[in-house]
Amino acid sequence: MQTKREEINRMVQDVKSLPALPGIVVKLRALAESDAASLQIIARLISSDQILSAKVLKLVNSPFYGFPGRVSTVSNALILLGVNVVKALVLSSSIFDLMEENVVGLWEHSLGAGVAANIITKRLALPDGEEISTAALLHDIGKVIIKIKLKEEAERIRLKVDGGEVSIREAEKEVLDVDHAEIGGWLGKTWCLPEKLIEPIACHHDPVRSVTYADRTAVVHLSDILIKASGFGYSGDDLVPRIQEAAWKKLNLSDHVLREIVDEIEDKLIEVKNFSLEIQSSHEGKV
Amino acid sequence: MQNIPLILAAPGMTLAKAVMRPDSESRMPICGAGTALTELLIERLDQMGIASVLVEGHPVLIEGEKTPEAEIKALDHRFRQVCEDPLMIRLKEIYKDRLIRLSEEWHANEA
Amino acid sequence: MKGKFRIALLSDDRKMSEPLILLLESREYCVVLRTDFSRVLGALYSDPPDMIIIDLGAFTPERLKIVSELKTDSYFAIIPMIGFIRPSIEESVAWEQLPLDDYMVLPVQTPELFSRIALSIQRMERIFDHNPLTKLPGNTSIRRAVEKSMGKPRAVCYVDINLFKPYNDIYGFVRGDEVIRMLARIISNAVKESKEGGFSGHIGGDDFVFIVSGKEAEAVSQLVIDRFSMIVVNLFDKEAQARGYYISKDRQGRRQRIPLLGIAIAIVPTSNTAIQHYGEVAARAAELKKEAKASKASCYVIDCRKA
Ligand SMILES: [Fe+2]
Ligand SMILES: [Fe+2]
Repeated sequence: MQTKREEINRMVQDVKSLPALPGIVVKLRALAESDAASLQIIARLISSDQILSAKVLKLVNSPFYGFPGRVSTVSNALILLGVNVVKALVLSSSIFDLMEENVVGLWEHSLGAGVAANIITKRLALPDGEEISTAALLHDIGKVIIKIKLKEEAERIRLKVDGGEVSIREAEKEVLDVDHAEIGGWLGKTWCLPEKLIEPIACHHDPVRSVTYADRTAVVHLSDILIKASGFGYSGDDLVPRIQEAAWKKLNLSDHVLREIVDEIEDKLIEVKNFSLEIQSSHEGKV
Repeated sequence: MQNIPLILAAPGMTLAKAVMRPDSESRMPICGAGTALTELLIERLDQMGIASVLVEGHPVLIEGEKTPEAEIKALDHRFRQVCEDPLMIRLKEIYKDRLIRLSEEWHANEA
Repeated sequence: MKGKFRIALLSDDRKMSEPLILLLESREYCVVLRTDFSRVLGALYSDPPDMIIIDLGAFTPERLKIVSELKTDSYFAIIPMIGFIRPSIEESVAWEQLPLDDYMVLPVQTPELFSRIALSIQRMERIFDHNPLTKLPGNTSIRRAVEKSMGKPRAVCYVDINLFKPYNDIYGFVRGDEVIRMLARIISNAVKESKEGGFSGHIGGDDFVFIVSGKEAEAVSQLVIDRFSMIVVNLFDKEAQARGYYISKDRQGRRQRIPLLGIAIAIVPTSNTAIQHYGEVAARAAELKKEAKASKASCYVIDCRKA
């Protein structure tokens, strides 16, 4: 007998692509048509969407190009794949049929976490800020898999969360026997993403399990919590998770520094919110 | 500090943050923080495709916008499962202080 | 490991494609049908086939662009591509500008189709001197490209990696091959992004050549240097990344600090009429490279000698 976990793991290994937010694809299409679009502008726009970023990273890390598991930022992927390949790849993406509120909510949550990770790494002067932000952007990608590939279970999880004091992660474990973090890690393995992205994704709710890239995982863990504390976006429940003590010690933040980080994130989130509204309206404008 | 759509911007308001040229790589500022808005400036921002600006204080009431008091309640609600954890209490205080600051700005304008 | 031979069939004409797929499958080919031309490039990039058959229909710019785009990416240029065309159109096609490997007139005759497929694959293996590691054109193509640019306002740029041997000794040749592949992609993409475009080739080992317009040669060289240094850190361990060097032993067994990999580029403008043949370009480049290598950091050196 195959357990539920094994069954899901098997399913994840067959995931070839996931749908992106229509507004982003519309915007990229407009950019792609104007030849002037520079590498940086395209990279920045792709970096705002977890699905497109994952798609580009999947391709550049595929065995076909011959450096699997080496590239962990969208800008490096663009340099190696070439602008035309990335443009074509993005424009061929499938998109969510509906701009459901929860889809936008999760998109905002992911982007917010990426922004937070960027601010934290800068403030702590950690190297590889762009890589850590990418891990934070992708941290909840497992939730997209559940939503798209396990529709019926996703509905049961939603009912559990809405019905009581359970977090989405607890509900996932009850229904699926595995949570979105682990599923995200499985996808990362299937898609040959670098270990420095996989580990923070897979351990973002339980950073003590992260051994090789514990610093990065701690940053992603905190980024997720700060975005949930701020109430920005919607990641499936409205509960702020507890900061794990080991991760907190690892980051070694004083209250003063944390205050500065929170202030900077909150200011930046206003811009992110405006960007999100713009993306949503660029989709409506098209339809 | 309040984020308002440009249609609600009016002469006499002061920018709380610099306005950047949209879609430009260099992130060139168009006008800096502290600039007082004028009819002409608002029109020019509109032509450049600026959709919203950050202004000082809390000059307009936007429909559906939560009051800082409601925000504080929502904050407490989000932290409901971790309200005994000393570290989480410290974190919540940081967010609460920020909201209290915003609340003061908000009410200063009402007066 | 290698499965069935995979053919991507690009066509929105179901009447033609459906029986064709059955036929191809009866010959043990695995066929992936793509009907949406607006999304076909992305689909091919994310799931590369072994061969492409494209229904060119009425020769719309969209379909011609698919052909030319694929043929400008070194990884895809070596995938054989056969075009299907309508019977009346044959004479009006600008064949010189269409980088197809072969074509067939509709309706397709089946025995002919199978032999054309087999021949296209064979021809690709025979005439292309691409480097198996990087899939970039090799020495015969390079020589031809250099000769073609002589006397024109172009520049031939020779690239090689500084201190590549100790890197291979410490990190292993598998990692070394990854460096080579990355550099190949960096060069060919930078050349493609340049305004006038150009040629990229792989001489062998860590030696590459690219040709761009004389005006752009320095800018493209700098871009290649910058991008290489940005990317290459991913191929070192954490400690070396943080310190900016790694430890190797010299012949006497003494520990040596070796800086992270860099590259040297020698630029030889071909507008110089004093250069008459291929050998002279290579000789000048060799001299310049010594100069470029004298600097520890990545750099380019340009040939400024008068005619
Ligand atoms: Fe999560
Ligand atoms: Fe999250």
